[in-house]
Amino acid sequence: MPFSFTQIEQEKTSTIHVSVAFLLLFYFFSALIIVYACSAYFYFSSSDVLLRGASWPTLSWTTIGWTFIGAMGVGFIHWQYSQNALIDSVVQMMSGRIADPQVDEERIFRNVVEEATVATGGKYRIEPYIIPTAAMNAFALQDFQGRCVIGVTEGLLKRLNREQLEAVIGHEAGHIASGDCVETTTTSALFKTFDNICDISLRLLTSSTRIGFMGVALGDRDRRRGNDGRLVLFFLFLFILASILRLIGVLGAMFISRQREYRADAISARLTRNPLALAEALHIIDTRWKGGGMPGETMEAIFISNPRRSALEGGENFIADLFTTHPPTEKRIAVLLDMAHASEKDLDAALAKAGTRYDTLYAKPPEAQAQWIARKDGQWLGPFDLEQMKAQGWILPGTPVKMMGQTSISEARLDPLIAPLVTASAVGTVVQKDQCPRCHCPLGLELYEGVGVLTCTLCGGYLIKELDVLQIVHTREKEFDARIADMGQLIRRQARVLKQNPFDAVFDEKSIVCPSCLDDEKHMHRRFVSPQFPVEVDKCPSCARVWFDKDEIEVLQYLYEQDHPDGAPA
Amino acid sequence: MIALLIALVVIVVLVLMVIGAYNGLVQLRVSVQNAWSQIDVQLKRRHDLIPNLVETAKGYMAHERGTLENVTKARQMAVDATTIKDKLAAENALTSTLRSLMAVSENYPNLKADQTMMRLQEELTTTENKIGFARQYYNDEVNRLNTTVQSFPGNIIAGQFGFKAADFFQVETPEDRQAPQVKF
Repeated sequence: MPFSFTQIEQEKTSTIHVSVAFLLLFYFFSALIIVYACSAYFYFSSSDVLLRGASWPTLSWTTIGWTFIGAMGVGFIHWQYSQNALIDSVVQMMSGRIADPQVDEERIFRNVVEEATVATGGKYRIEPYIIPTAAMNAFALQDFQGRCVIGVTEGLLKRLNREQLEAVIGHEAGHIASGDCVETTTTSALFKTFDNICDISLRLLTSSTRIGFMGVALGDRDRRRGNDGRLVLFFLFLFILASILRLIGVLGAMFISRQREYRADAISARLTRNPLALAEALHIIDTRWKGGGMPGETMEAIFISNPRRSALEGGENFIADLFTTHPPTEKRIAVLLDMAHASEKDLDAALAKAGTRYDTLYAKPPEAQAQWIARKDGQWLGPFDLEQMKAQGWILPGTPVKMMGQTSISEARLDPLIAPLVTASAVGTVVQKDQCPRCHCPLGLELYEGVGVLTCTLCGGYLIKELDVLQIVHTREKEFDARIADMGQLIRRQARVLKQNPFDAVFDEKSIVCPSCLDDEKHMHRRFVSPQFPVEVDKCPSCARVWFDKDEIEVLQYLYEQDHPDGAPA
Repeated sequence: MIALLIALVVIVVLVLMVIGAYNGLVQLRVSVQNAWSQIDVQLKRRHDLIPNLVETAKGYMAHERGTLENVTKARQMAVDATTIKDKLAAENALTSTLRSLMAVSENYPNLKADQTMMRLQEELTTTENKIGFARQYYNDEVNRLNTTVQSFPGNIIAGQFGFKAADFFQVETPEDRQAPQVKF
């Protein structure tokens, strides 16, 4: 692992050559096959074929040479076409815009990106882009002219604090400095061409078949003659060819090793000196909608976290490594926490600053009086003993905690002494069967606007029956604060975007195990409530219960009440 | 004849090596200067921010005249410093006075809620971060230069042509964050 950005730069990876070489070879061989097929056609259809006997035609070296030149020409055009205004087209596809310095959060984002520019010695001028969506994700792009872009979604800006944002930008800057970006951007763009051809040919295929059939149905001889199936066949051929190439493009993910995500995480940790902030950011991003169904999800390799949830993602075996672009988030968080305990001096300093006795860090207290420090909003608090930990009330299963006298930091749910505390303490009425899908603690019964719902006091999520959701949105008791209103406006803008591209609103991915069915086979499905209310929820198809993460039910209520201000049910 | 040829080849190779090493050293020196100018830009930015910051804070913290005056004084020292060594010392002093100002300002909720102050604080945070990153980069470059200047055969050429090892930008405040150790 190199130490400085200068060294990281020198060790740039370049699998880009492999994919370009592959494409050129592909063009050459397919051109060769076409030329051979043509010459064979003429060879066998000429009249003196019987005289020559049953031998196959051969190609002269000159022909092969010309074929080669032709193939390279096509390859060159393809390259030019795909690289032309590459970044603009990708950003446009996601309807991104430059961050606005007049808006507070966006100015902070601009500042953080500038900081990353300074960290690389000013070698890269990175442009800050905002993607107007409620999803949580970030990406980096770089083209061969050296233009760099780091983009984040509005949802991410709203939900992360500055430290976490710094960590995420550090990760993206790491991708740029280590050359991952040039590679993924250009490779994706190259294969994207086939994606387009695939789409266009499919559209032409369906329309040409329709016209063909119509011609038959109407008995229209002229039309039928024009579409006697050759056109359909041609488009079918084009479609299949482009599909195969697209598949190869997807397999190109094989070259894109998961290792590079770990590396970018490590670069970010070194840059910001704050691996825990990145761990927190990854945790937040992972439990939220990451933009599945969003335009641009086909370029999954450029994002910090894969927009699509894939069943393979969780695995750590060879196959999973081969076919996915990102390592499992839990593993990444574990690695980051592991980095954090190497920087224990920070911890000392932070505690000293906060006025905590930190000499106790080294003296290992006896088991009965074990003490911990815990991290809240980027600061270490404590030390607390077991009773005090219980009384804190803000310690969640994902909170980083550290036992005094020990070097390792772990998540609260993984610490054997703290775990039972965070998973059981805060809940009033304990319902044994139902467990919070995020915190793995029992859910409590709560009356929410007159409806009995299950809730997790730790993460603030709700498990609500589908019918009860209707009642909740029709009842107006709750007042909403500015934060919910802010999120609501964001979701509203999202809905407007989705209205133009209704297909993007349809996403449906297997997510958490249903807390009510508690069956490993029965997964909830992650989707929007509706295109009109693109609030992301998890729905169980078998028991019709809906899991709302923190704030989501409030945002849904807010939106609904905005739409129906007079209180009349829809 | 053959001996002469061999000698000639050896001399040519040696001369080429010297030229290569010399050019390498020049490049390193330029990149160190460049890295320093990056720090300089950020330090200037910080100097420009401080009067505004002090002016805004004055309205809220009348009892902290001493702290504010210290900041202003430290800033003046930093602006006046000419040599790199003086600059380093003055900037370190300025950093610590700014830290104490920030610590004190925690006690003034009105100040913290002030819109101008919030903006200034964000500007200061980002400038401090940039100084930190620029320093990191500068030190990396200095490290490269010094390694080349001190190791064989760079040391001979450096001695002949007057290349000197550059100073690191060290931080004296102990609570500065340590780099985490990276493991896989």
